[in-house]
Order: sequence, then structure tokens, then C-alpha cells
Amino acid sequence: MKIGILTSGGDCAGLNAVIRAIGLYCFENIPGVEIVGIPDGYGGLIRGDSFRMSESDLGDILDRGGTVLGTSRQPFKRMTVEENGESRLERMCENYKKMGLDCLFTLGGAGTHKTAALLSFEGCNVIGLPKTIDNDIYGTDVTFGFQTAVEVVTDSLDRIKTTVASHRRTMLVEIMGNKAGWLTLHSGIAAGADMILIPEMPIDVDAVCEFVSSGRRDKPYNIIAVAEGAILASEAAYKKSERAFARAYMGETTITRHLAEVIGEKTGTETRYTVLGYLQRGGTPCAYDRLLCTRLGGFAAKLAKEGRFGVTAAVVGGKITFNALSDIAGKYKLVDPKGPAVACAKSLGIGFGTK
Amino acid sequence: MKYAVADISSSSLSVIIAEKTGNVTEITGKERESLSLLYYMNGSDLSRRGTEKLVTALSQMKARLAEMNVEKCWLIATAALRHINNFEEVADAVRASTGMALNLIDGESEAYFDYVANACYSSCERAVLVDLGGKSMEICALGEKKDMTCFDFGLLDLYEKFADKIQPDEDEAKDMGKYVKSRFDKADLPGKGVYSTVILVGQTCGAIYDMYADLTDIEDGDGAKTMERKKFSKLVKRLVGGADRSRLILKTAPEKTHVILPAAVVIKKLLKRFDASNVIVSDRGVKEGYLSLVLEGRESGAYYDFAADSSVGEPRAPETGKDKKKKESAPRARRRTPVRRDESAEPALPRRRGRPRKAETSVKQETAPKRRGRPRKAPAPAAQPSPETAEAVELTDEGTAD
Repeated sequence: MKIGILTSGGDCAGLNAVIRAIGLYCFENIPGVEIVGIPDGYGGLIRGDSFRMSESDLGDILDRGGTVLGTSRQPFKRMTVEENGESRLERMCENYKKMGLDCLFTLGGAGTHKTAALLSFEGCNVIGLPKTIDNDIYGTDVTFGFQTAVEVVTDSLDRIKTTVASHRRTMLVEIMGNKAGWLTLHSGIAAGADMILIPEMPIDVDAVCEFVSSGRRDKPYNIIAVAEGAILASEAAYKKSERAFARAYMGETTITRHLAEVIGEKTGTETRYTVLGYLQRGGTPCAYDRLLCTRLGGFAAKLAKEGRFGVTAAVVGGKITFNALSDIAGKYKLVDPKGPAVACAKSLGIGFGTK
Repeated sequence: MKYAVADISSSSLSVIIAEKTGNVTEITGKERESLSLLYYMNGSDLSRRGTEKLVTALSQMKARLAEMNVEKCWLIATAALRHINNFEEVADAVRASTGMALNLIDGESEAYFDYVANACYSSCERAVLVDLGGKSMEICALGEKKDMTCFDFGLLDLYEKFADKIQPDEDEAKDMGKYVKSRFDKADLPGKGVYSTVILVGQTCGAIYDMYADLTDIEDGDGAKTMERKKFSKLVKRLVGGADRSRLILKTAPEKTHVILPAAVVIKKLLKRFDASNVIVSDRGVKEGYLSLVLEGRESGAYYDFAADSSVGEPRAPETGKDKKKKESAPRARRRTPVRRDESAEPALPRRRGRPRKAETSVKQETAPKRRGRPRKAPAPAAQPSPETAEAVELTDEGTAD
């Protein structure tokens, strides 16, 4: 059996731990197995690049951040567009055959899973693994890389808090999460943020200002965790592209700076903002992610051994299981504004910028 | 009074919500959750994971129906569960977790419910109803002469017979077309001039229409879903060899990957055969027909009573597997009496207009297709695990909580 592994999209902690688990399971349980790494995500598959991986390549990567295979972003929209008489999807399918693969593991987020579904529809034996710090893959309770990112962001918020408290400021901290606010919500709660602004709950600026100026619990400072995809209630009716156009006109890509300015003007409090950026992706996976990655990788490899393809590994109710790619591709798991985490935060007085 | 009918098919769990006021029953809502049961099979059994997915989807649907103040819900299952070997086990799991009893609908009844739901199209000129299912196909004239031809092969059978991979290639599509034509010839299906309007029924046809609308830039609306033959042929061409066919399917109906092209091939052959100029895609089907009949007291089945939090009545026709196939090999006589409806009220559901009774209807029953040419491939998209490995998958499902 010849198995290919690729990592696609933005990197996160735990990718190597999954690669290791897949490889070790296969070497231990599938006689005569050959494992090849495909560099740079779908880019490598489009080019037809691969390299053989041995057990020694896997031995020492459990705690290493990033991905030993390299990764790249290949927009889903471009996959079926013909270039020089052939689409990227067709080239990938051809190279899958040329490489003689019996199975391809694709480690990635929502976009990666959509492309994986395309490959599966075209006859490739694909098994997905849910990677993303956004935790927005449909059908799984949690994705690997998320928990480590929560740790990193929580730690950052803790550090920012000491400065903000000393200077008695309001600080907006921009956190990754374009469509889904899971990372902002979880780290915001964990760090004791005063307000959490997420894409699923459009912001009422007046409500935010009222919250800040209320001086709740005699606190002289405020920490506001803002997801990069957070939107104003007044923008909610517009399409994403229209919002992006309007923001580009203002020289902005996210709402954070604008919101900081408005809060400062309206409340008179000294307001600053900071963007955590790529700090959130890198680094060593936390123990939770190492365990999760090992279990997911081992389970996915077992699915391959048993010939169950066109699926992705998942965590449901604490159990490691699988979903059909066709059931999850193109869907997102978003924060439920009426869900338990938001309800709990609200019950503690944490604001969400809504009236 | 609010009612609901939920239908488990091979690719989704769909539900209609209806409100009855006086004699008028109006469909007030529809919901659909994709559920690709094919990917959760262990041979001919629905795996534990598949059952778990089904139960979860049903529990969520039940909660939503309760929020909508639905009072009664009938849960029906068609071909998807009709052909699994462990139906009883699945039905027990569903009942234990949700309290809902499963009503199993046989192929002939399924066709009848479709007919009832779509009888409103009888007024169309020389109309014929085409119901494309996974394991059977029914073609029924809606005019005065109510011929019905039942084929006991469906879209999944065509996929299994002709496609090597998940989607058939050009040659396989051609072979599929030839086979379908030969079956139509053998069944003496009418040729040119007999029908001018084709009414397409079933969720796969709905998915095909969605793709058609996407390609032809038709906006969503309340208007009739119609297709032009020429443009439809372009869609078929794209589905057979287009570079973006998978993207198109992923965008509109990813859970129907296996049956989209077979459906397109069958429709193309039918349109050519009938030389029909009008093609209408109906959004009414089994659920609407069944609801119409149970509310009139002409159809039986257990329903879930939300107030009592339990199932009431005997589940309908809980037959499965080989027994079911034996029964389907011969047409069954039907004794249904036309019931007059209150003509003063404006019914929102299709009215019964004299369903072809056994005596006045010629029902032709086609036999199961014999495998020709290449050897049969595994029915499920994934290679089927051996009994030992299947067990291993099931055991893995039992992993402990993190």
C-alpha cells in the first residue's frame, strides 16, 4: 500500500504530530507500506512532487511546530479553472495516479476539505484530517491546533492585561478567526476579557461604548477580544466582498482600528489596539493537541487500512470517529450566539457588543 | 394543527412542516440536512457510526420541530433503509433515542405518494410523471390513460453497474445511456408525440435543477422550475466531461455525487424518447403525498406525538431485505377509493384526481437488471471492509472520551 500525506493551508501546531501518528501506525500495522510526503500542500500534488518518508523521519517530530512537509494556500476557486488546457484538479488526479497512491491524507482546514472532496469525487482515495486554529470545521467538536492557539492567545491576553491595568486603558486585541469566533471566545473567556466581539454576533457600536464607559465593577481598564472577522451590525447586510471594498477604501482590512478610534472618541477613555497576528499559529503543540493529533492520526491510518475513503476524521462527543467528506465539505461550524459558552460568558457579565 | 413528515433518504434527512386550518393544509416549511448514508455502510449493514449520524440528525430535527410547535410527525424511510440488512436494529436505535417509530415505504407506495403529490400537474398537456429513485424508477402518465411503468433498477444501480470510480467517465456514461434506452425499449415505453410535458420528481431531480439554474443564471424564486432541453443537454455534457463538474456537484448537492450523472443520463434519454418540449421539476414528492393521504385517513403509519412524547400507532410495513425484494418483483394490486374533498376550500396540497386503480391502470413491472460486461464493483464508494476490519472500525467508534 502506498500512502501520500500532504498539509495544506495555514500552518498550526500539531501537524507534525498527526503526520507522525499516521506514519507510525502504518509502519506498525500495514505490511510493506510505503509512505510519501507531498511538499507544499496541494501545490506539490499539482507539480507531482513527492519524497519517500522513513520511520526515522517521523521519530522526533511529535512536539515540533509547523509542518515538515511544508504547506501552501491553493484557492479552491482556482482548482477547476483550466490553465493550458488542464485544470489543477486534473493535474492532481493525474499525479495521484502517476505516484501510484492507494490513499492520500490531506491535513487542513475547511478549504482543504473542499478540495479533498473534489479529489474524492474524481476517484482518488482521500482521508481528511481536521486542522485549523479557527475550530470551524463542520462535524467535529474540535480541530487540532485550536487548543494550542487558545493557550497562546490566552497567554498573550494575560500579558497585555498587566500593561492595560497599569495604564488604565481600554485595549482591543485582534485575534484570528475570519468566519468563526471560537478562538476569540475561548481565549477571551479563559483570559477574563471584559468584552468578546465575534463575527457571529454583529457589533452595535453604541452598546460597546456604553459597556466601556459604564466602569463595571469599578475596573479602570477593559480588555476587548476582537475576532478579525468581527463586523458591525450596520455592515451585516452586506456581502463579504462589499465590506472588504468599503474597508479597503478606509485603508483597513479589519474593524479593530476603527472601533478603537470610535471608543476613544465617544467614551474619552485612552484606547489602544494590538494585533496578535502570526504569533497565534506557531510553536510547540500543547499536551492536549499532541494527544488529540496522535489519536486522530492513528484513527485515520486505521481507516485507510480498512479501505474507508472519502471521509474525514472527527471528534464527536469525545469519541474519535469519522464523517463523510460530502457531508461536511463547504460547511462551517460557527459559534451559536445562544450556545452554552456564550450564555455562560453573558451570565458572568462579559459583553458581546450587542443590545 | 401543525404536522410534519420527515423522510430518510440515501443522501439526506428532509422534513416538511404543514399547517391545517379547516380543510386547508398548507406547507409552511421545509428543511433538509445532508446525510450521505452510503459512506457509512459496512457491506449491506448501516454501520454503528451511520446509525449514530442518523439518530443525531433526527434528534436535532425533532428539537427544531418542537420549537415550531409541531404536534405530530410521521417519520418515513424509502429506498435507503429499505435495502439495508439491519433495518430492525437501526429502527430500534432510532426509537430508543428519539421515541420515533420508522414507517418503511415500499417502492410502489413511494411512486403512489409521488403521484398524489403531483396530481395537480394533470392539467398540463400530455403530462408524464418521472420519479427517479436510487433503487427504482417509475414513469406514470398523468392524463386520462394512466399508464404506469415501474423499473426495478434505479440511479444507484446504474452507478454500481457502470461507474468504476465515483463519477462515470464519458464512455461509461455512453454505456449507461445505451442500457437505459434498451430497458425503455424492452418496456415498450411510448415514443415521440405521446407526452409533451415531463414532470421530474425526487430530490436528485431537484439537485439537477439547482445545477441547471446555476449554469443558466436563474435566480431563486417562487416561479415554476422549468428546464429547456438544449440547455439541459449542455449541462449533461458538462457533467460528463467538464473540468468543473465536481465543483458544480460540490456546490449544489455533494451528497448526491454518485447519482447526479446517472440521473442526467436517464432524463436526457427520456426527453429524447418522448421528444417532450416542456420539462418541469416538481418540488413535491413522497412526503407531501404521504401527508396528504394520512390526513385524509387513507394511509396508515405511526406518528410521533409531541404532547405525549411518544409514538402512536403501528409503524408502516416494516419489511426489509430479501423479503421486500421478492414482493417488489411482482406488481401488487391496490385498492384505494377516491375520496371527495371539500370543494369549497382551497387545498394547498395536491388533490386526488382519481389515482390509477389496478383495474384501470396498466402497470408494467420491469425485472432487475442482469449484470453484463465488466464485473460488479462494490456498492459503496469506499472499499468495503472485511467482517474483521468492519468490526475494528466499530470498536474504534467506542473510543473513550478525551
